Amino acid sequence: MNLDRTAVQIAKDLKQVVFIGAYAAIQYGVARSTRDIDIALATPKTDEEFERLGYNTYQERGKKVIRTRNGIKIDVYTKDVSGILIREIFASALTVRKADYPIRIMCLEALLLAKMRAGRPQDNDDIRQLCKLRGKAIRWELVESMARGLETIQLRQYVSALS
Amino acid sequence: MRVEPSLAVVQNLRDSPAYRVSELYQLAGSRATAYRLLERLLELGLAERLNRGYFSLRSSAFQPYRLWPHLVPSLQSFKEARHFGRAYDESDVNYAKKTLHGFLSLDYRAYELTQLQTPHQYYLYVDRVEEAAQLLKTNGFSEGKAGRVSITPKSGNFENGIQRVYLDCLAAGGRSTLDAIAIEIRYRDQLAITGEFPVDLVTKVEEDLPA
Repeated sequence: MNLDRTAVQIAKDLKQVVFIGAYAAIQYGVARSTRDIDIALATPKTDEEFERLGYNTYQERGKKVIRTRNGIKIDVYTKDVSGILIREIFASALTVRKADYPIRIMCLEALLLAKMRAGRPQDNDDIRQLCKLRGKAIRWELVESMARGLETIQLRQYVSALS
Repeated sequence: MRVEPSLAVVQNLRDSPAYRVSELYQLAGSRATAYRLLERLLELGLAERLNRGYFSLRSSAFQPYRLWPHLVPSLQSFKEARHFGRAYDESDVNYAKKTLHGFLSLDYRAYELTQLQTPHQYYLYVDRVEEAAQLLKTNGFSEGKAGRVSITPKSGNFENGIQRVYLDCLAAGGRSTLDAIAIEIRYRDQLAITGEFPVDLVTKVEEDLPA
């Protein structure tokens, strides 16, 4: 399984795309991830458009599933990611090079907030690792601009406890 | 190791990356009881002390209390595990695969069984820990916290290997919870003891498991 190669192909195919979720977390040093890739799209694509680009789209247990040619599942977000608007995800995204091709990934701050909101065991695990590895690199003004309620204080506490 | 029912009071906390000790005061009834409670959770391996009066809880602390005694051997093995690294990458794991012998568990065994998540830590139960540690050290490995090769003494029941790997993943919690769910989906008939998981987590694993 080479997720980087798959990510580059997705970026080439879909153009206006930001990688979010576990694939973004790996870029910040998180060690483990599942085989799926989560992406944010600036402009929604129809099933026909995905099919034309070589992706398989079908219904599974009542949910739309998109898979790459090599079978990797893609989860597509077109409105928001855990409440963070897609335009904010795009505006704050970072560019990294994979296989000599630039791809855009969700910024650390949005990733942490999204994971805090999801709150599943794997998200809490990732938050712990991200705070340990990258806590000192967090841009707090960016957190403030996307956070709700006490989330900034909460995240500061996690960083203080873990970094 | 004894597991007192009073410890289950921590299940009233919500699963979170870190907690203040003061969050336990009200649950425990007093500050002194809160600190005693935390000490017991640390001894059991369910909690870890962090900076500045914070602590973390393994997500296995939120499994039903009746399961806790089954998790204790795994939790104790995590506490006794020794970690080694040389290049701190996959080559360390490849070396360990070739030279060390024992019972493989957690990430790499879960990956062999389910192919759900990329593995990271090579976690091996060995008969003679000191001997294995010396072998690694004489071959350039250093012992510390960050190494990807972990060795630990065998304790608890290994008769049903799949069950043991499952309980190790369940006890480790966090991302390993997904491994436990995947093992349960694939090897349900080989498990006598199983955990409880939110439906959305099980659905996610079902969707992500390779066909």
